[in-house]
Amino acid sequence: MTSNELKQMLERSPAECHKALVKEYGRYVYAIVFNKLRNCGTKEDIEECVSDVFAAIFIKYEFDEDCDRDIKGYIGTVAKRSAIDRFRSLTSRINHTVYADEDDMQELVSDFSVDERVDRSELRRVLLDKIDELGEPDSTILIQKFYYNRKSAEIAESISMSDASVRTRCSRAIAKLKVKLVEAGITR
Amino acid sequence: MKEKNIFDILGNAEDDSMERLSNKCPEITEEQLNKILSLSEKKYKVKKKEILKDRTEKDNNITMTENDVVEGVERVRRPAWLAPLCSAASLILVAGVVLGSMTMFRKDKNGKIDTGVIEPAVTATTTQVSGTTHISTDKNGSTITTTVTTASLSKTTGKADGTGESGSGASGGAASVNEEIKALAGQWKYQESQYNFVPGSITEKGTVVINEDGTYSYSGTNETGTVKIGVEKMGGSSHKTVSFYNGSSYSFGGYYQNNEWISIGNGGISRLVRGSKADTSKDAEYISYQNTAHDLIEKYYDTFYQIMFRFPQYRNMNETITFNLKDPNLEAGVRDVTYARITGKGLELNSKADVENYARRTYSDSLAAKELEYLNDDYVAVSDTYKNGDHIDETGVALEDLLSFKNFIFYKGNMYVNTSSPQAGWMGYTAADKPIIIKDITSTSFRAYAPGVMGENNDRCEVVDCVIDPSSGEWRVNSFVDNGYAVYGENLSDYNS
Repeated sequence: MTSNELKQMLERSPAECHKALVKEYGRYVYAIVFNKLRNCGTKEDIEECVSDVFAAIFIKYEFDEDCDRDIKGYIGTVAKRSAIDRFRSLTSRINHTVYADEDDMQELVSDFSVDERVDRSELRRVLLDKIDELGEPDSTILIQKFYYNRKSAEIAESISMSDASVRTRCSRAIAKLKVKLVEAGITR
Repeated sequence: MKEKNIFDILGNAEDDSMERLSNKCPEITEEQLNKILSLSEKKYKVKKKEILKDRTEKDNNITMTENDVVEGVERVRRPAWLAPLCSAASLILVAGVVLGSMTMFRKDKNGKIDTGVIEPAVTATTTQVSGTTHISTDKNGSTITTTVTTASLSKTTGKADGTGESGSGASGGAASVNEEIKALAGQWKYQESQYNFVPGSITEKGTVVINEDGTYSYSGTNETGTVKIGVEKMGGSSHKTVSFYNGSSYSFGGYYQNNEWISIGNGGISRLVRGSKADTSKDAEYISYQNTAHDLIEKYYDTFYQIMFRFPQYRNMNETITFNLKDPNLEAGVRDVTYARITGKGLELNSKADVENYARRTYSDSLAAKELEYLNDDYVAVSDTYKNGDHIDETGVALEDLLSFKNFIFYKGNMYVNTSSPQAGWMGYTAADKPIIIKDITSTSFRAYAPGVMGENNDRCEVVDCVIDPSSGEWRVNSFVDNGYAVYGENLSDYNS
């Protein structure tokens, strides 16, 4: 969606424009907000924050004539700021959701030791690189399971596999990842 | 060193890592997107109202005058010592004026010459203003340019000798402005609605009469004043404005839409209308369709196969029976479930046939064929040997057949309805404060868009097709589709245009 398309749509029908924005950028905003709140917020907190982001964007585009800007970049900035604000208000509530049926899986990833002194952004890149090296669908399965906290059944549905296959692939993928991380110098 | 989930490292990611993570973000379901959209719209409306209210308050505190002079009201705190100092200074000034005047009168006493020319006591010289431009900045820093064109009459009145001439009248550019005001002359209805003026949501606030000479009266507040036409530039386009001034104070105003419609403010909740736009003769018919739809939707839910909707208005809580039943959804594994009779509140149901007959007065034949098959799975007979409060052992019973999930039971010859679903407290099927939207009316059918209530949230929109039952001539529900609230919003946006 370009800025001009957005403007035209806004003039034609604000409701239609809002819907299009949420449809096109909902997942993107959700991912950003989730990234900040995954360790302190519930699903409802994340949805509340995502709706705050879109409400702010609707207002901005309605009342600000100067909306000739990079839409995705702008939405990303608003999402980050809103998520940080929400993070600050939620930090007293530590709640990392782990589904009961995934307890055995959590053991797979909890035995890594992370030295706080290691450059976290470098570590993130290495981890994402190594996960990508596993190829699809394993990389998606691992990210969705351990980062987005999705149940195996939900992942299975989204990638058209059986629940059992997802669990098996997940166990094998995490074992491969461990080896790759050790090779990269990230050890227990 | 600290033990932790290695994936926690991915939190607080910078842009490039974030991009990779968002690509692997699970798809958000349609339901979740609708929920987010609905929440966002709610928050957006609240914020928008605040912004517009803030603007209106600012507008009311500002008086625009000629030659781009802006007068405003600013609240300041004065130092406590300022008042006595000013009083003392005033006394000195007054004393000076009195003494000076006395001296001057004494001087003129013997030398004053009467020229015979009578000086006007009041001379109001009005300059013809063809366009006064006001530039202001809105809350977001955007520039709003408003050009007010006033059709004033030059007038000199109240001469000291008691004579006076009437004004010579406007000419040139003012004539066209006068014509614009003349075009607005007549009686207008001042209406308010939170929901785009869908019939049933309109409040009549009074009548505004605009006169050809540019004056107006408004019965809602018993005020009179002058009307001014202007132009406002917003978002690169020009909008004709119509402002109503009570004396020098701005009272209300908005945007000229057409010869029958002036929207008041820019929030879209108030307007002035006349002619066909103000014609309410068909509203009663529209409202009767709304009432029909409302009644049918409530009845539809009474027999809907989800437990939370079973006859909440008709439950007789003085005639109940409670059993302790298995519930796999709860940690305890069991819970007390209370069943109530449907009797004594204008409706009495004693058998499955009674429920079916009730449903058939709501559903069309084709819908009844689909919906009523669920009823057969909804009944269980409970042995008369059980007493109120007894635990009923359901070991070996399939999950879907558990008694706690059944909507109706027969016990000691009476029929009871389940009142103890976790959702049983969710009352109200349609949002009371929002009008049902009616569309596609024919002699035998219409479609209703009803804002649905789930718990405390208005986050659904039921799209209900109603048809006339050929045998009884009464309206029936022919199809019932549950949608996100956005569908209601989309259809609402078709109004007020």
